[in-house]
Amino acid sequence: MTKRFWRAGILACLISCVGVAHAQVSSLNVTEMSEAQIRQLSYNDLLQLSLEDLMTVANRFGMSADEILEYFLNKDVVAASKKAEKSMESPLSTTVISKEQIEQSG
Amino acid sequence: MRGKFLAMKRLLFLIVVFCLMGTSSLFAQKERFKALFIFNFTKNIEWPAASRGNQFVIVVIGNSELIAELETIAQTQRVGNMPIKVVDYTSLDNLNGCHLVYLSPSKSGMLSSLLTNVNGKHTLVVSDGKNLAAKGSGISFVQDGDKLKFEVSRKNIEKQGLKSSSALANLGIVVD
Repeated sequence: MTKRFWRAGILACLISCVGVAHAQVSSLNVTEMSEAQIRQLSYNDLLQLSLEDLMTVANRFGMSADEILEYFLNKDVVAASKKAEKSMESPLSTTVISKEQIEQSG
Repeated sequence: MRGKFLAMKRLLFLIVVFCLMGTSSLFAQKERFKALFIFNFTKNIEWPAASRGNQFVIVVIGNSELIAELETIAQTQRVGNMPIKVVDYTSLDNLNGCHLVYLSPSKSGMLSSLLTNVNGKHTLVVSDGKNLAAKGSGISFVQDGDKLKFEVSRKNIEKQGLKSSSALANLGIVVD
């Protein structure tokens, strides 16, 4: 009986931890984005948004999706192991370089 | 019977733990959005050339989570060409030469003394609570149901010697 409860608890835990696989987003036109696409934005992407777009994103999220940490801070990375994995599990630390930074570097 | 009781207790414990996890990350998320908004406000406000220094100084009064979020932003972002410096408020002296000050809801009572201190010194005052823009702050966050909105007082922003973009007025709740 007790075991069954623990199993249920662990299962619930696993389900809440499983994230959605992310893909790359190239343009940042948030008004035309589906909710799934908005969820693929990184924290760095959010910083580059205009005030209007930021409000759109904030309100589409309804400020209540508690998976947001997962979405914005624990993105899938492919650089370290040549396969998608959570950045927390990746063997290397990763840095996001913005378009402007690449342009400035020449 | 006893086993069942124990199992129920454990289940209850698990539920409580999940609820706590939920509320704490919800809180962090709100502060994260507030930090994003504050950074975004800096793109919609123009500080006069004379007030620009080596750093863009943000003073935060009474919200350590927001300080952490703003510091994350400060690591990678700049305002104009200035790196961002986030200062935890300790005394009114902190406010000298600061570009933006955030006043948390629990410290809203400080608003009037804060305003006398920064009056006309090119400081954007961002408060957190309803009707505070009418009481002298430039921008005030308001929580409308589950949506984060903000009040804008163009008059108060101008009084501080700053210029606000039309987008700010269009997207905020204009109080004057």
